[in-house]
Amino acid sequence: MGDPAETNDWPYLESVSSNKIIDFRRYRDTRDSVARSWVLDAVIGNPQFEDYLKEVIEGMIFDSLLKGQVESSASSDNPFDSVYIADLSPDKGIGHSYRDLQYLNRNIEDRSDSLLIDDNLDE
Amino acid sequence: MYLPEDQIERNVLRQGDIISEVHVPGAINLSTINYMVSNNTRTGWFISKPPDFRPAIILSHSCEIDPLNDIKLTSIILAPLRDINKATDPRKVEELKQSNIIDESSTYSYLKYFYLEPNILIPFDDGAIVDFSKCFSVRNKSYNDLLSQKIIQMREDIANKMALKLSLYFYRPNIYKNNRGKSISFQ
Repeated sequence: MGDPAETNDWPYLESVSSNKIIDFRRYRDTRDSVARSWVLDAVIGNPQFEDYLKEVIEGMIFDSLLKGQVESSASSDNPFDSVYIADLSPDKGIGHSYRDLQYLNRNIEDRSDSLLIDDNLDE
Repeated sequence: MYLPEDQIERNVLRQGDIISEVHVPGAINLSTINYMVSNNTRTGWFISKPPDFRPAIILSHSCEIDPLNDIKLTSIILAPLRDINKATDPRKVEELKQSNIIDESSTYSYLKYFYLEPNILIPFDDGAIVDFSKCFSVRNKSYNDLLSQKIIQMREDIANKMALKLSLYFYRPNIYKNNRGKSISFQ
């Protein structure tokens, strides 16, 4: 059995007069080449469009990966804690009491702000 | 400053352990997140930025992350190491080295930083700086990943000195102003 689109074997066309049908297939090659040319011009000539397209494609790939992961491993671990902050806890092992810390804090001048490191971590 | 190689504990993480390479996530800019949306629900997110891998040091207290302690905390705190040669003022670097270890006789220091002596396994030729202000945490389930990249273990007495500096860096006396605008310090 052939392709219905090629053989006009679509059942719903049986009741439609053939002279009322526009054969878009005749324009297919022209239409495709014009569209292709337009897309290429838009992509090559417009960096913003290129960035946009890149972002959309990255998003689609990520979404696909994410869905794949969710479907393949329902029991996969959540990569994050419920909160994304450091889990600080009092440090009991250093042998200094709160009063010692207060004493040191009162007597030490902190010069941290005068030391700068140029390695892009402060941007 | 560091334990000899044959004394390094290879099966456990300790405060002051140096990890060869960790993904440092940094503080996030919320406006740069791309969200995946499905049925009006955010199902995921990603960021278009290359990951930043750096050597790092364990700041969490040894006992708090010890597996024998059933790892009480949900996360492990680290800080990135920074190249001491990238410091912009060599005189300040010398001051940092001189005041690195704090005791009762100290009159000044660089509380935000802890100096690490050069070591062949640290990729900074003249030593590194631990930056407490850049600390970040990873889940405790990353324990084995970090352990597999442990390259150096700090001597316990030096690790305690680093912990003291860390405590002092985060310690701030509470200062309030009374109704006449005068500062009141609760120390």
